[in-house]
Amino acid sequence: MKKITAYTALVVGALIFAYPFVWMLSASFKPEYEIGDMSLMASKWTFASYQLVFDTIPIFSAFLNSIIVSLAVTGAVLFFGSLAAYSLSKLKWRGRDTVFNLILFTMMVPFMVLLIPLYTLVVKFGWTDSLVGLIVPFMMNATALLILRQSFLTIPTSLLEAARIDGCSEWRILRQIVWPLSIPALITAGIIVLTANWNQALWPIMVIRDEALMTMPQMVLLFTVGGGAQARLGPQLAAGILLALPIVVIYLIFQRQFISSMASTGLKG
Amino acid sequence: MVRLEGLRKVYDEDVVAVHGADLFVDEGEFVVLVGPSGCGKSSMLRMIAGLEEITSGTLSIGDKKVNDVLPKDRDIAMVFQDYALYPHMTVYKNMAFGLELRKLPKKEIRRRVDDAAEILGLMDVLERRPKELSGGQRQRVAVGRAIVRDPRVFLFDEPLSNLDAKLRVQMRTEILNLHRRLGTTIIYVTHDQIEAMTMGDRIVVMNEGKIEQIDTPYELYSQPNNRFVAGFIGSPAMNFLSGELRTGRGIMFKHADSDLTVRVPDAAQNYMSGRDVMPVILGIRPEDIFLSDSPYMEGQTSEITLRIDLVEHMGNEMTVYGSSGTTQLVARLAPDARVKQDDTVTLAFLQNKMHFFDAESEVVFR
Ligand SMILES: Nc1ncnc2c1ncn2[C@@H]1O[C@H](COP(=O)(O)OP(=O)(O)O)[C@@H](O)[C@H]1O
Ligand SMILES: [Mg+2]
Repeated sequence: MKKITAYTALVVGALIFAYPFVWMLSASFKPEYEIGDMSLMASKWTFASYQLVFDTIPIFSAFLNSIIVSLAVTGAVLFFGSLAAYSLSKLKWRGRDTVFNLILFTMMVPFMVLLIPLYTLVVKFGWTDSLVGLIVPFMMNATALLILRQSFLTIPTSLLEAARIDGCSEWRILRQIVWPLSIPALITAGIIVLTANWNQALWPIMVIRDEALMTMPQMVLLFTVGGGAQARLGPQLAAGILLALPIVVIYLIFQRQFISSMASTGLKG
Repeated sequence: MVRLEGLRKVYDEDVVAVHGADLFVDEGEFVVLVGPSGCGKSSMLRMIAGLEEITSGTLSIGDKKVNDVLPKDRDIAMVFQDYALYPHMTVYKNMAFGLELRKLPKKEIRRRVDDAAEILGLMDVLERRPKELSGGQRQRVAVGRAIVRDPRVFLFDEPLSNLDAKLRVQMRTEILNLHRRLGTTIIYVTHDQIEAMTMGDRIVVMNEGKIEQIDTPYELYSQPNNRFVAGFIGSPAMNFLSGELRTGRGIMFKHADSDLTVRVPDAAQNYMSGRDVMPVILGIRPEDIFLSDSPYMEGQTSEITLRIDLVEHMGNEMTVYGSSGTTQLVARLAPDARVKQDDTVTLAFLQNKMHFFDAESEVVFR
């Protein structure tokens, strides 16, 4: 009896949570004049909203740019984050704890504070209107470093020492011992960084003017609020769906590792 | 083969783990480092392995100074207490890994791993992961990973301490057999003095970062250099009685806490360098104590009367715990000795088995 109550509560909760997303999905396939009601059904299903999106904005190039930028950023964060996390967790050097505390401190600094100095730098380097300007400033990330360090700390030091005696360089230890044993943490950090980066709109809006170099969130934002959607709700929802789709897919693929690692590192995104 | 000269290890500027150790380990020798936990055994071994920086002193392997040589270039292999097997690799790969890094031909690697697996009885588990193995099998893989490398020196850091008692005894024999078969120099760390005594050609007893004595098991047992070694080696431990030596008619040991007086060999005269009274600690092993009416004791005059607190029958002998005032003694008596709890018995010490230590420095008189 108790169980049934608990399950009912859970199901109701899940429905409340899921409803807006499901509604959004169904509405994006409805004719424009039917979107106003809250029902999930339509008299007929249509791709018209999507058609308008594809016709008015270069959504494919935006998609491609987003993929390039977020994969490059994620790859760089995992790479440099691993190097730093390895050094901070498994190598001994003077001032290590101080450096680690400084890195923790950077997590407290809101991105808004960095916006202007970062922008100034990017202008100085001549990286405006280029994907480099979207990638380089985000190649290091304290949250990812923290997740990786936490995971590396659980690897027994004797493993690394055995590998050192076996003939591994530190770099090879990272590749052949540490990484294979930290896959859940790499996935978690990767998803967090990828999601955050994929959704980033503010920074691209500052750095990119050229439509051919715009990323998805920037493009979708300009489309929905900038008049491209001609104030019609359907295409706005369709663009939103296209923006969210890759993240949902990635999450579905990796959800098991993601959840287990979230639970074990005790961190949320 | 391995030479330590004034080898010192200081952690964090002020924790001295090893105070200037001198040691020479010969080719093919099995040397055991033994001592209580925290005495610096692992630090010493890890300096030899190259896993800890040497604070000062010289370490040579072969004839080459290797202070600044990387672990992988020292031609050593190490077996860790927790085995340190790579969890994501198969048993085969665990053993082959070091050889692959050294770019040996595939066939040669296969041959060496198979040979080692054969010796260690691991042929059937080569494709398994470490977590699918029993404790004993993991231990063997760790040993296998060391022997496929065919190094000049094996280093073992408490390799058996995670095994149950029975397996420990079995692995002890296996490692000894392996040593006999390969003839490779071994430096082996343990805190277990029985393991040390049964395995080592020579034993290095350490305490608080210092080497107390380096000797064969027999020498160590029969001629300990100081009170620490005397008390550490042997189980049950040697009995110690504080008191003084006095000259009178012959030399007597007078116990400080009781009226116990023991006649000691006249040779003890030499310790006293002319003095009449000399504070000392008398050490006597439990098996060198007998009932005074036993035939062994003919002509021995050192006797002490004790009340028996506890008797443990072992079958082949019995361990008797007795006391006289605040003094406690442990004796190992023949199984047929007719003593029981609460008896009062007279015991005698074998005169030529008594050890005398300087009360101050705790160094033995010789
Ligand atoms: N990495 C380290 N940093 C600081 N102190 C250490 C370190 N490793 C060992 N010590 C200290 O050095 C001493 C000797 O330790 P160790 O060599 O591990 O002894 P054992 O192996 O005989 O138990 C101990 O007091 C220990 O606390
Ligand atoms: Mg140790």
